[in-house]
Amino acid sequence: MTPQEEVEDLLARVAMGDRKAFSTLYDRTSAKLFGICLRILVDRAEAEEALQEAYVRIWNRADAYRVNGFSPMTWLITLTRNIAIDRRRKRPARPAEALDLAETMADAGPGPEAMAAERSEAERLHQCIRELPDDRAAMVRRVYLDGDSYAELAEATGTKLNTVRTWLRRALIQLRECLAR
Amino acid sequence: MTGPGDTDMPAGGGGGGEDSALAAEYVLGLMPEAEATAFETRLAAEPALEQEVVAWTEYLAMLADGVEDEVPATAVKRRIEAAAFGPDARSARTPFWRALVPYGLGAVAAALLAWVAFTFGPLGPEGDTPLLVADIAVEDQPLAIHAGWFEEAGELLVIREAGNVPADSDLELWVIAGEGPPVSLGLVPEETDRIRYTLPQAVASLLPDATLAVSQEPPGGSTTGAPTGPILGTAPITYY
Repeated sequence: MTPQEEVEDLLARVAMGDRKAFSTLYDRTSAKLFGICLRILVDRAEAEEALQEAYVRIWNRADAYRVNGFSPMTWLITLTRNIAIDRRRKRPARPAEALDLAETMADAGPGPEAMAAERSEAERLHQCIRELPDDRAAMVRRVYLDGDSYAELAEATGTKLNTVRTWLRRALIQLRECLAR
Repeated sequence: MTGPGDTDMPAGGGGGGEDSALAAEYVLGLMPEAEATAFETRLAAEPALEQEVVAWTEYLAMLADGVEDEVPATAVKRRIEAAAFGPDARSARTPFWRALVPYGLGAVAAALLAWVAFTFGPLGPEGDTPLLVADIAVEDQPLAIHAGWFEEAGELLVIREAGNVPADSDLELWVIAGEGPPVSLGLVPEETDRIRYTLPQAVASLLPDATLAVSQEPPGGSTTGAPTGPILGTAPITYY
């Protein structure tokens, strides 16, 4: 069984209320999902709360996973990211950090967890992101991984919100065209 | 397996690059709420647009590969399992009254009750005498807690007779009936010396001949529905 099939199998058992499967799923996936929460929320206690909300939702909604046609890790990552971002947006605004181009380098390339079947897709994505101008690539990452809003991006780059939106949308269209090649 | 490759993004995407950018913005959570709602209406009617959303979701999730894994503290898993499985998580036998208590008695609910209860007078309801009482004296600490149950009013009066709530923590009261798991009654008052809690019938019915216990918990009380800190003291609940 590939790691991907294993997660899929665990989710199917969780959907039937299998607590042991839930415990195994947690052991397999919590470091990744907690990493995502921590990256978005920074504060450890808040990240733990977000992680809890995510896993409780996974426990309650695992049956919904099949319906949407996502690969299992995508479903888990997206669900967790959305919970963390929701919490981030609800808290009082913090001063944005300046956009750091070093971020572009830090995230280059997929991690060891990427599965063989997914690897080519992931490599394609990273390749296409590398084709973007550095500052636009950093924006895409920042929006997805840190959960920045347009307002925060505008503040970080010292630009008007509409300008930032135009930049990012152009970058996304370029990325999308590269992916479709 | 469903990978983004299976979705066969046609060049230009569903309805052109503009729609693809919209789909990406939607996935990224960048849309203002009104715009997102309008987009969702379109999504329901346009399969190509939906496919675009799925493809973006898959691709962007791959960015998470670049996020450092971080192992959460062990306690987090216990908390999550308690929250997911409900208050019965630790005990296979489910006492019948569990079904009557919606969420156990969370510290938050108890705190809300406490806020209301502050406005009551200092003693038992109108010269009433309590039906049940318990007195906890904590060893090695000058902490003494007296609790009285007023049957007719359906109120538990908790008096901190001596000592203080330790800094950066809360003291939580529990009723333990027989072999059943502890059920939270509320927090020991910190600012004032007494407080009243209105207890649901299902919890009140546990009190006769049960044990009252006090545990030290993080501020706001246990978040698991069970004591997480040390039990500082216990006392039998007896008829007054």
